[in-house]
Amino acid sequence: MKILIIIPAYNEELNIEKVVNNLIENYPQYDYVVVNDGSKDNTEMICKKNNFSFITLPLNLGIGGCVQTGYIYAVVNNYDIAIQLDGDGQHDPSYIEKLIDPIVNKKAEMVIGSRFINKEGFQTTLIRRIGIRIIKSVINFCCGLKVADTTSGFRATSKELNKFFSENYAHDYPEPEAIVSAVLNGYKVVEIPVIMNERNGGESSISGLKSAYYMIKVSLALLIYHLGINK
Amino acid sequence: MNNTLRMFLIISVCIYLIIIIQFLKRKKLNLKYTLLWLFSAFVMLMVTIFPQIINFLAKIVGIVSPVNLVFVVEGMFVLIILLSLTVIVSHLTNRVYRLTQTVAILEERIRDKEVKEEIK
Repeated sequence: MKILIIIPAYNEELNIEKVVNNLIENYPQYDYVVVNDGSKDNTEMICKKNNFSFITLPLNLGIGGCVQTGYIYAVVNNYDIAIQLDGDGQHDPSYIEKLIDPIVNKKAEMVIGSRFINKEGFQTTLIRRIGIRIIKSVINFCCGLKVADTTSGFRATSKELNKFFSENYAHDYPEPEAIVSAVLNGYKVVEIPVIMNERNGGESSISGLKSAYYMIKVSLALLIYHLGINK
Repeated sequence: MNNTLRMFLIISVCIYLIIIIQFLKRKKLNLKYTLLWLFSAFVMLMVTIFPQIINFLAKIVGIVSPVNLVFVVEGMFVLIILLSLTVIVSHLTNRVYRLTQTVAILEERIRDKEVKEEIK
């Protein structure tokens, strides 16, 4: 079984080396590809210097377009499972085995690593937890699925779903939308508990006023999905 | 609508048409995206040449002064054209995304090939 780890990276010069070297040393059974989202810092130089496998987007597309590039790469190179693992060291690759287990056993097409099932490890800020909770109820309303960690970027997807995502993936803030579009198109989504670390550096893609925009945009997008598919 | 206003509107629409046609000639505008502009100019011209149309329509929708309907119609055209611009921009955005991703993946394949050749 060919397994690809997609590592979206935007301005991750501080973390990317550590994250990728850890994968190369301890998890050689998985292939990986860094998708450098037009970083302005030395992310690309570091990848080149270390001879990492990487794709560099000539423009900054945002996390959606960046991860989608990874899915296209997975489809082009015929991978059976794609795993998204953030470039900032938040996600612990030792959970990958558990993450792909439901897909290997054909029990699900998408597996989300959730930090809120066992409530262990880094739990993010209160404000964000509230936001995540709201998105959770919107998702539940849209597709009847209860997902605790709707914004988790630590997820594994099957071959069919990679194909689907390589063609349809939201541009910005794609995580919640990906769940809804997968469920509404008949794919099975499950969650497993993981422990996440606090990010070591770099900046989160969402902060300040953007959170309000994020909430409105995501909720609206989810509702539109809901209307569009149930017509 | 009095005749002075009609003259003013006819001249304005003619200038507007000349500008559009000039742009088309110099290929600064894609005809595809200009159809809406031309159509709006055509409607405005018809309405000013035959004010009976606007008088009749104003009565139907309950606008007392027919000239106000001219402004309403104009406003609607502006909205429709703006909306069509957003549609065009969204379409272009999707294409730029696809293009960027394809270029990036091709670049990776070329780099990969070059590295393998160097090893040989």
